[in-house]
Amino acid sequence: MIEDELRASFARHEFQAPRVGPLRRAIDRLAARRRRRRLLLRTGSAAALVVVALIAVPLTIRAPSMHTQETLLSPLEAPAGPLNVVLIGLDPYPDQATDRPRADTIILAHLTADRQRAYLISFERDLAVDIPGFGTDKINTAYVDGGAPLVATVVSSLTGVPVNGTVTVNLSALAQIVDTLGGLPLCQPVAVTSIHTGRTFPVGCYQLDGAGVTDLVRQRLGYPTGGYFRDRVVQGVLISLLRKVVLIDIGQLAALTRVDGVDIDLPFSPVSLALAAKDLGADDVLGFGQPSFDPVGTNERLDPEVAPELFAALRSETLDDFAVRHPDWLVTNH
Amino acid sequence: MTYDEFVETRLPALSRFAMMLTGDHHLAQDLVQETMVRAQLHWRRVVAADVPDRYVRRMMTNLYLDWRRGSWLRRVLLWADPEDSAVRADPSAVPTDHAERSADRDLVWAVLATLPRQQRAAVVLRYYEDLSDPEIADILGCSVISARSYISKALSTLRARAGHMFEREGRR
Repeated sequence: MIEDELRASFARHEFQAPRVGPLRRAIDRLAARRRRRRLLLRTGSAAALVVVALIAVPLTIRAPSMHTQETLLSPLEAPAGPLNVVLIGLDPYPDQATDRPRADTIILAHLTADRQRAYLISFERDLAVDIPGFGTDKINTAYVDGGAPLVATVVSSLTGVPVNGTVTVNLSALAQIVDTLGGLPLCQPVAVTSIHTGRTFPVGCYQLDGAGVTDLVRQRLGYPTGGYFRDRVVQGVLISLLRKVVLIDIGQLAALTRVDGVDIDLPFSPVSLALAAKDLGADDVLGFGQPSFDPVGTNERLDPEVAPELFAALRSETLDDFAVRHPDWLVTNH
Repeated sequence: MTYDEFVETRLPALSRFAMMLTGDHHLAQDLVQETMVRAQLHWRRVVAADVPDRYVRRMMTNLYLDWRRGSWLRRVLLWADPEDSAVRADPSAVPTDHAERSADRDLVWAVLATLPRQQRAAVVLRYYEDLSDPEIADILGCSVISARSYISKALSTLRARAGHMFEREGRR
């Protein structure tokens, strides 16, 4: 009869439930405060894309209103020194019961201390890592276990650099962003046929709309090097976005700020970052990633010799030299 | 349905649900607040759900389960006064051979507090909200089999640690 005792115990404690009146006032007060904060962040959300693609200046130059926002946000100035932001790409299944999908794209974006260079480092989704509190598992489950903060922790302990914040982008947001920009030119070095839509993406350079880009970045199994190649495609998309945003007008900028599905968790204003990185152009961004499989069971591992060298080069900001030593780790398809 | 209508009709029940999940008045308050602030800010997404009430309950349950992962509730826990709730008291400290019924009753509540969160949530959904296994699985984001196993594990813990008092009274 433990069941009856349980019901009785619950019933006895009902009176302890918080009272509705004060609760409601507290909710409204908190929500109002957070809405104000969100408004500020939203205004900077095109600039958050700046973070996503590490695109800096053009937005602030082209949107004078942002300068006013910048004064509002001045206490949240980006710190001096190198900045590390983890970019997380999500592809939630429409029927997924849990709120948290796996993170299929994980990229560490590094802005150098002198703000002259940015580096992207991809982590393959099946990479076996130590997830604090959850043991060894694929890196893409870290998001399921603990959201963006846990992914940041994992990336930080892998690379040995402190992570300043995260930007999480839903695949649906990517489609909206691309469509707002009027499509995206991409170069596909290897043909692939979508296992989702059956569409074939031939070798060559062409313009894709939001649906096309979304379909393309979901493909992994069609490539000889699977997820490793997909990571390269995603980096190519980011860099193409970066080139494109340089040319946008204010109308498009306004539309970009309304895109839903981009979640920014930064301890400073994206606008201040945009200003800090205003000399940075698409050609100053270098992307890296392991070239191919190194399986351990059903997981992947990082090359035990080259990966530590990559992370050491990241810490000392000598990735240009690393690229010369290991050209196969450099992402060249953009 | 507008947000105000929802709050008007559902807030009392949500507040009680939070109380059963957390076992603590103050934590329940924080849990409802955090859930409803998010619901208010994303109201369009909430009303787009088939059953908004279920959607909000799932949000709340997820927040509660996230607690274990050291998210937003950690700061709340840091402030919380361990004395202000019988829930955090060591259940073994509760006098099990006490003649007074209420002490025995509180034992069930105290043992509940020692359950893993998933199990506690499952038990609350079953015996407080009276939901079916598939509904519980949907809210917890797990399979029906897992939901059932959470409930049965919770019940056997409760039987092992609080069951003796019913035997003593000859109810079994």
